[in-house]
Amino acid sequence: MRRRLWLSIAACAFGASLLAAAGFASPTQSGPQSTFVGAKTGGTLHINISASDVDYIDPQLSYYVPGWALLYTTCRQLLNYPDRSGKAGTRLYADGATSFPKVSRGGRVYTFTLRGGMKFSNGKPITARNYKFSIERAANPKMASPAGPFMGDIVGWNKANKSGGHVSGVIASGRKLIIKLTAPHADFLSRAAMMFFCPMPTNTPIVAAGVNSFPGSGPYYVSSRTPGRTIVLKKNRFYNGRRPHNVNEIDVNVLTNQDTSLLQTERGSVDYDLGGHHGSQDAALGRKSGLNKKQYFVNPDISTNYFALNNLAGAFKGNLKARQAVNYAMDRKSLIATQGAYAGHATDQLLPPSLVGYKNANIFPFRSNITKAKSLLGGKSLNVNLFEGGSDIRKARAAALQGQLGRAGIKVNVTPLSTGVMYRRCGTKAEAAASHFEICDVGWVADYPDPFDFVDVLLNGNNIQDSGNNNYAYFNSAKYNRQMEAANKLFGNKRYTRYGNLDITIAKNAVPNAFWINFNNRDFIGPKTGCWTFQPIYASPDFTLLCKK
Amino acid sequence: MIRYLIRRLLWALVLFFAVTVVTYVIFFLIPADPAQRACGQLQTQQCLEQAHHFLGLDRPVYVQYGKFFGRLLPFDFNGLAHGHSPIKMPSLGISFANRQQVNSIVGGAAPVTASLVFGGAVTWLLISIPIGILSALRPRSLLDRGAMMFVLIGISAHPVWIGLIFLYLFAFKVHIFPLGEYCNMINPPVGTSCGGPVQWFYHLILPWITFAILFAALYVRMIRANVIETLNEDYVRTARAKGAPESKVMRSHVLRNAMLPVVTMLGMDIALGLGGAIFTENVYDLPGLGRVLRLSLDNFDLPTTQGIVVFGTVAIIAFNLIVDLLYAAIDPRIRLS
Repeated sequence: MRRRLWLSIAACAFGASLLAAAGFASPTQSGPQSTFVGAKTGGTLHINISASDVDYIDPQLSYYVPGWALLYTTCRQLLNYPDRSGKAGTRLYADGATSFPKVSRGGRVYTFTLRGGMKFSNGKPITARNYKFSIERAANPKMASPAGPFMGDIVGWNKANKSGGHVSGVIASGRKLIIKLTAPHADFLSRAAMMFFCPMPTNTPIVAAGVNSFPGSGPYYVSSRTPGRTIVLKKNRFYNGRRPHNVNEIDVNVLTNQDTSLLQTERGSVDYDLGGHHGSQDAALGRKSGLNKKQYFVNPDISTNYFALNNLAGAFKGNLKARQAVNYAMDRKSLIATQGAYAGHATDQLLPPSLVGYKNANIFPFRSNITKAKSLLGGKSLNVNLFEGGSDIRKARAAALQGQLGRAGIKVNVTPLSTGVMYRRCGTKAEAAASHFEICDVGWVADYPDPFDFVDVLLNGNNIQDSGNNNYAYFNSAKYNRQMEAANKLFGNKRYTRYGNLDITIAKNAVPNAFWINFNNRDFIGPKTGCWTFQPIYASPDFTLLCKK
Repeated sequence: MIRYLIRRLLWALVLFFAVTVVTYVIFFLIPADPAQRACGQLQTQQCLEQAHHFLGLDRPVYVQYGKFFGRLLPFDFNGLAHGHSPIKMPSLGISFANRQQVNSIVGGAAPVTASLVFGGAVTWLLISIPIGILSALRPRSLLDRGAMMFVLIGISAHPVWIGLIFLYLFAFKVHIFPLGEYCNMINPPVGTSCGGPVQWFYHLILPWITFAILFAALYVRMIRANVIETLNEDYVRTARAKGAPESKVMRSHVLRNAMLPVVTMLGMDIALGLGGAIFTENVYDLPGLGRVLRLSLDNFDLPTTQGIVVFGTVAIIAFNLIVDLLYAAIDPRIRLS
């Protein structure tokens, strides 16, 4: 009797502990996901990528939206983003790992414990060695991967990046993966969810061209890719995670024509065009299909577009009032009207509302205040040169800005360039120092959802280099540089609050740029396509969820 | 004949050299940097330096050009020094944008463009020869005026506009033809929904017509003028005076002479069409050289751009040579001197 009682107590305790464990584990294990009641499974999705191809479909090389949107279906990183839209879609959860890592030694050592029973689409087990191999593959100089800025603070990465071989700061032992950083960086968790960290079989070739098919660890795998033609994703039958996988196959046609593709989508022979459609079509699509109902959807991107004001030389150097005058003279709402219907929301700060840390602040008006702008200029007039990026919509907003600033006495000479050339010239320090431009029409899309990727990357003067700059304003304030670096050492809410405050303070007191829009992603799907969910991190629909009606 | 061929080939080499040098110079005059694309939006100085080295852009332009030219030669002197075969496959290099072999990129796209251009040439001849001849035989008739109207529209309307209108009418509204897409005649790649000769032909009907309209208009005008001119020649009048039947006069005396310039034009226009195909390919989603060229220009992908330039130059030189030889065979009055 006594023995049975003990057994009962032990069983109860075991059950309770399991229940408690499940309670703790569920938020991280499952990864909150959208569900569609009665979603039909099976069938093939037909996706176009108009006017473009993915750069690579190899996770250690791919670094642009179309590639990542597809790879999101094929990769099971340690941490991942849920299959959800809105802010819920930007919150990390443990996917390949059992939970968030244990962080020790002042934020320098991250210990992940992997889930058991994970398998690649070829049936082989996924172990810590596969995650380690991916980091080392990205570091290998033969790959010439763009992963450097996101992995470079892992101990030994730079050495491996020069000579190949192992990255000493990554240790795989059984189900444990230990990653050591050279310094504490709280944004590492967000970076660890990037595609560069996608686990790969350890026999994956290390070649500059990457691979065009590989065993997947997520709900799908890349079955084949013919560059310039097609990409085929198929369901991973060994996937045991909880992410959805509604269709059996995703066929992607690249480099299609936008107009033809829109007709194909309207007819239903294509489900979605990842290359988008012309902005001139949005008003009609919105009218015809209704907004966010069945076929036409508008969602905010995690991006900000702005006119960078050259703080290094020329009319705006050391001239706070002139920079403020630009911000008062520009009519943000009119500028947005030149970008087509539902283009985006006006802003006067760097952090986009969809990013954690954002705090709204009314710093400048969204409509022109010419009187205020003129008073800031003190009756003087300015001559400035605007570098503009060549496309029709960029030309339209450059012309609009020219008119708006002209009314305040700022004469704008527009230099039309192709987008690539504009970014190169604006990113070259010598061009800024020689005052070849005072204004540059640029934008920034999040690499990963952390305010560091906006505030520090775009405004920290310590990052200014000879070429390839992202700080197009060449804003360099010792005071703010220190504050940014201090913010980057913080974790959790403190970090986001500090960055949010910095964003407002800099935009208000230093006025390095004229921020004007957070663009929307405007998507149109076919009449036979359902289960729409916009994944904000990848600025695209969630292909694991899309289904056939 | 042999001397003529050698002379033409030497000229072709000079032309080839000039075209590739000009492409290189233009590329380096544009202040764009392919290394920036390789490093993505977050570019560190270290990444840019590595990418420059990796892509070979840290070498002087003449060294880069020398390497490009060396890769094109079918001889491998290094291989000879190491005891390997000195013969190698000429290489167009590796794409800056996706690091694939340019040979395979061009090799994959060329058959699509060839399908469009040769099919288009057949189409424009099928349209222009009967219309041109009938217009010439009945000048100022309703048919002639209708043909001239066609010429006017064909010359004025851009292939992109024509293509979009055709797609909207015949594919989207009336489902007679497919809405874009290309089907390989053989070996369709995985992920494409169609393949085989019948689907290939069916999917190319609208592109062929779109591509052919401009050339057909030009040819109708030329054939009409040639036939009218030849009909007034003394030898035609003589043949008729001798009582030759009209069909024989037309076949042996009029058309044979009136069509000679068409052969010359055809050779040049097929080569020209390789460039014009870019518009039709883009509207109809044909994965040909035009589409690849446009993407390579967007990405500042010099090896791919240069590969297509090389391919186009060789094609133009070859077509012109074939036409010259054909012309001499058709018209014995021409001597290859």
